[in-house]
Amino acid sequence: MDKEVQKCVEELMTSPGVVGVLCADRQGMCLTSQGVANSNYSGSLTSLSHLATTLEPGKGDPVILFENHESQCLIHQNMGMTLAVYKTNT
Amino acid sequence: MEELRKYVACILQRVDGLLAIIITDRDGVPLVKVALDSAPEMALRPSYLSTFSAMATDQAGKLGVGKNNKIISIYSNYQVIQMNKSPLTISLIASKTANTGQLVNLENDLLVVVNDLASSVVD
Repeated sequence: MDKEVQKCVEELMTSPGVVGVLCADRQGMCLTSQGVANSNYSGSLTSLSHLATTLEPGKGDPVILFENHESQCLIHQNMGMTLAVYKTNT
Repeated sequence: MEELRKYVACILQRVDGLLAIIITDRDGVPLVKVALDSAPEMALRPSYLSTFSAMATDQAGKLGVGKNNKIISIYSNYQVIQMNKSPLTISLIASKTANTGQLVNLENDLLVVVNDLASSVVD
């Protein structure tokens, strides 16, 4: 399983504009992180996605987008796994 | 010392499900202890807290993968995270459902307190 996850993350990293990818389990433990994604923040990312699901219960897993002038961070939780993708705006 | 305790009490409120933060010396004697009423009393006893610094971390260090930094123990109702900051130990006691990643990340914030205490312990 490790290799498959790693392969997916590496594929994501080759997508245009992607500068970092992080995967965490439901306990907030970092499974893998690449690029600018800091494994220290896996707990906070998981917690944020969990909080977002409580805003509209029963409407599926939301996608959270943080955006500033230079970059974006997309967070999505599915089947207990949290995926964060860091992108540049260019 | 009271200020240190207040700072640790603030950190305690930062993570949902975190029940206690205890900073102990090698013998499990608490130097700073902040706990909610719901924290399990058994896990706050020096006899439990000292097992990490006196035995577990030393033994784990012999596995051939370098010095042991932290041990995460997950029980059926609680989780305990113990961090080796020789000569001191940080113990975090939380409910099973608490976010382990966030708990581990508290290490950076608690390091300030531990460094302050460690210098006075060595003195």
